[in-house]
Amino acid sequence: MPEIKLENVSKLIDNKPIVDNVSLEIPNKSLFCVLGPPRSGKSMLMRLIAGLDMPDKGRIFFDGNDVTHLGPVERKVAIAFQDFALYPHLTAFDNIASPLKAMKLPGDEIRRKVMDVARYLKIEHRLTHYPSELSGGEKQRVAIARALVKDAEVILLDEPLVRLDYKIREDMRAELHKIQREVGKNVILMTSDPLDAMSLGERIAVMREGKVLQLGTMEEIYERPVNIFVGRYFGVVEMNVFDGELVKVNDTISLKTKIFEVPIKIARKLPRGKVKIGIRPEHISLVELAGKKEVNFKGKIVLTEVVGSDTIVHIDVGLEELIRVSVPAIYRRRMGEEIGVGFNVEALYIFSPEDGKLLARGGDLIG
Amino acid sequence: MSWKKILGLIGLAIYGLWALGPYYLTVITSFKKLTDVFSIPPKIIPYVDFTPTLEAYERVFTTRAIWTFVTSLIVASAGTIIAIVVGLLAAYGFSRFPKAPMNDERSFFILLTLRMLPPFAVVLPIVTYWVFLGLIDTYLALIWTYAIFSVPLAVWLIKGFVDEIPKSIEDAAMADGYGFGARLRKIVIPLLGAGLAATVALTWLFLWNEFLFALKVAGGKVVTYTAYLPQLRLGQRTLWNVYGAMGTLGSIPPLLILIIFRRYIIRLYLGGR
Amino acid sequence: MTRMPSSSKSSRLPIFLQLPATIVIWSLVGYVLPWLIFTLFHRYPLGRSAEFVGLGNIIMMFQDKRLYGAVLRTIYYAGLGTLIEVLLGMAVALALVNLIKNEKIRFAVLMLFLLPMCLSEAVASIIWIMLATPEGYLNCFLRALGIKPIPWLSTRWSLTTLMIADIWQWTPLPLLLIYAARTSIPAEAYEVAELDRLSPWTTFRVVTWPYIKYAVVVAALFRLILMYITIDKFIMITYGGPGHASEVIGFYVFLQSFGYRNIGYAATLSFATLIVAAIITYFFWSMFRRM
Repeated sequence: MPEIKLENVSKLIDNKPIVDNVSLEIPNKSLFCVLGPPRSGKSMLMRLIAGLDMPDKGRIFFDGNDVTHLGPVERKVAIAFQDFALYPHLTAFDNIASPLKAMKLPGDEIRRKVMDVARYLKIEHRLTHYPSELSGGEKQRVAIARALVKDAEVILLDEPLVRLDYKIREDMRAELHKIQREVGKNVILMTSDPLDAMSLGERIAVMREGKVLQLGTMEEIYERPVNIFVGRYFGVVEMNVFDGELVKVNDTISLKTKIFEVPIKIARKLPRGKVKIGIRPEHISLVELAGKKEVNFKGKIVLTEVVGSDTIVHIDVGLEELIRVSVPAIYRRRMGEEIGVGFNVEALYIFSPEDGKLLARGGDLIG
Repeated sequence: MSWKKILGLIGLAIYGLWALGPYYLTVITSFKKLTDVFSIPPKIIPYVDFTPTLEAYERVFTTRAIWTFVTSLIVASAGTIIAIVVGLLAAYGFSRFPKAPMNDERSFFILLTLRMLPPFAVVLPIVTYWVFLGLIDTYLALIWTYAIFSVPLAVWLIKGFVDEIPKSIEDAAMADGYGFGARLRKIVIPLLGAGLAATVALTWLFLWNEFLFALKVAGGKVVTYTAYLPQLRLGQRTLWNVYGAMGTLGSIPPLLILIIFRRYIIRLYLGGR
Repeated sequence: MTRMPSSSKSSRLPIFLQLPATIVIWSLVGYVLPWLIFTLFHRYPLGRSAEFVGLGNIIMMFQDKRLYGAVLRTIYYAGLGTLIEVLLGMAVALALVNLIKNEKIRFAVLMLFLLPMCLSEAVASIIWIMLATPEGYLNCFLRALGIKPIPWLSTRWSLTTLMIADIWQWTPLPLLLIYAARTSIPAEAYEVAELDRLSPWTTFRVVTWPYIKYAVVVAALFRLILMYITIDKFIMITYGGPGHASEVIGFYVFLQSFGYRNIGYAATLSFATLIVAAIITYFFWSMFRRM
């Protein structure tokens, strides 16, 4: 199962870079996730890794071999597409068997392999049906089966969960993880849903407008997003970002906003002046717990949103935007009610106001 | 039912009479004796006004007239085959590679303009061309000319149908290991299905009905049924019933196609225009 | 950073796909266009070789009175003919949809109405010869009703008779296009109009027309071009006559090509008609793209 390396890969369409000078290393036998909003170039990146398209610049290596000019079959790559791409005029069985038939394997071997994969994905009872007769989840499994049956070394999944119902998505995430571990191949997943990346990716690349912004593990990107965009994007609920200023008070540096001022310890010497401050909704506490935090103040509830089994409370604390707080329970309060809000300094992210780059976390110590 | 509706239905009935009447008259003419054809009042109900006879059809089947239909069949079918094969490839190119050279919008537009060329404007040079090659009045010349004029329509229609096939299915086929030829055979053509069949039928129909080129590029040794019709009117007495018979026979394939492909007529006209 | 050469097979495929069509078409068109341009500037008197006349043919074209008559006749034939075909087709299409609610019956009736359009122009011609000839069916009916017969193929009537024959054959095209457009209008739009108690005319203007206007325009342009281009009926039924009574532009060019054998002049006229046809096609294409 190869280690995949991309070296300065670019692809242009109409002279605009869809993939812009991307260099990546994907370790073997891993579940690698490429996360990016629509139009970030991740679909084209997938096509380049698969061999469906050739890059205009740069090279691609599998285990040190230059595969830039090879097609998907020579690269031993299997793909499961976003819209499943099942052949409508063939049964599920024939769909899964298709790559094997292209390899001209004998009939009984084809049958054996297809049945094995179908059993593994629990669709063996639907094999005689046509794609139009299958449910979304079943079609997804057939698409994955077609990718697995091939003995490919790299499996590419293009937004595999986006067409599935919300409930099924959670089940499929767990299954994908299981499949990767059991099958032991390189699985590369493209998604625009940060939840997918957070629960599946061992290593994650965050893409935007053709460029890879950050590459790392889930924890690395969560704790140290490279800029405001990644910080906001890579979260269960979007991070709160508001204005602030670093000021010197006596001998300490303080972080000052419209509603609070708090001394912080910072490892690097940060320039005084305006900054952007970020804090994640899940790191803010309400009511009784708020009082125990280093920074606390009062605010008015504007809106509560129940999402799944969590509640997002939108609170007006006197800043330019409402603060979102994520509470892991169903939490009902009345609109307009006053409530205590609090958090610890170490939960803060400090970003540069010019380019949005991460300057420090609140908890960095003077070294 | 309001009187407005009744009036409207009567209007539709009148239109129906107008649309089908002349055709009906032609068909029954083919079954009349020559003397029964035009009478005052006209004889329009078989067995009541006149006794049907097959004498017109006998004439058709015992002279070269019947062979003109065979010629039309050969020429229309051969021209269609060439046009469809060539057109399928070009349509695929226009659909899947719209940015590639020769496949872009401008090339497509040039192709379509060809279809709008007035035949009367190009007939003479085309005849000159075939005379120059020594191929005037041959099957090859007419079939080749027919193929050329059918390609634009075929490409236009087939491209519309290829556009409807999701690209991801072809990507999947590529990833499965199918080369272009296999993809065309196993995926594209089956998925084009009835659309392709309807295109074939429409193309064939245009060639079966064609008149001007049949008359001038051929017309001597190679005579289609359409080119044969003017010859029936020469001389003193026009054999009206034979006229009717030729017309009726010539209208059978179009009617069959209308019946078989009726569901696709609307789709084709929506997609083709 | 290396720039890779575009990969071998895949980038040549698009060109290979277009090659057969290009070869087939240009094997002839590649001769036709230069031939037209060349002969345009020459005259070919019988017995002698071609002589270069520069712009002589073009000047002759602008001074040709007979051509002027043909142009007028073409405008009448194609212009009025198209107008009637579109209006009649629209009326029948809308009547069909409004008056026959049973879809199966309606579809069957539509198929019957489409019959004339499927026939060859040559067959339609013989149908109308049998109707319009002095001893033909039309006059037989008229005489049976005690009405004086009409000389359908006389100098006065022949062009109009041809127009009527074309209307008979091709009204189904606008009919079909407008029918297809009309049936794509969701029923809810009409229910709202009913709730608002709109008059039939307003309903047409506000609900129906926005949906069908595209079909109407396409049908009109198509018929216009095709009536301009097609001369089959003219060759079959009247051969331009009697006299010049049914001589339209297309037939005039045909006559110059095969009748008088004025090759150079015929090429000039052909070229002029090609230009007009190209302009109309471009018009149509750019309207179509605004879809």
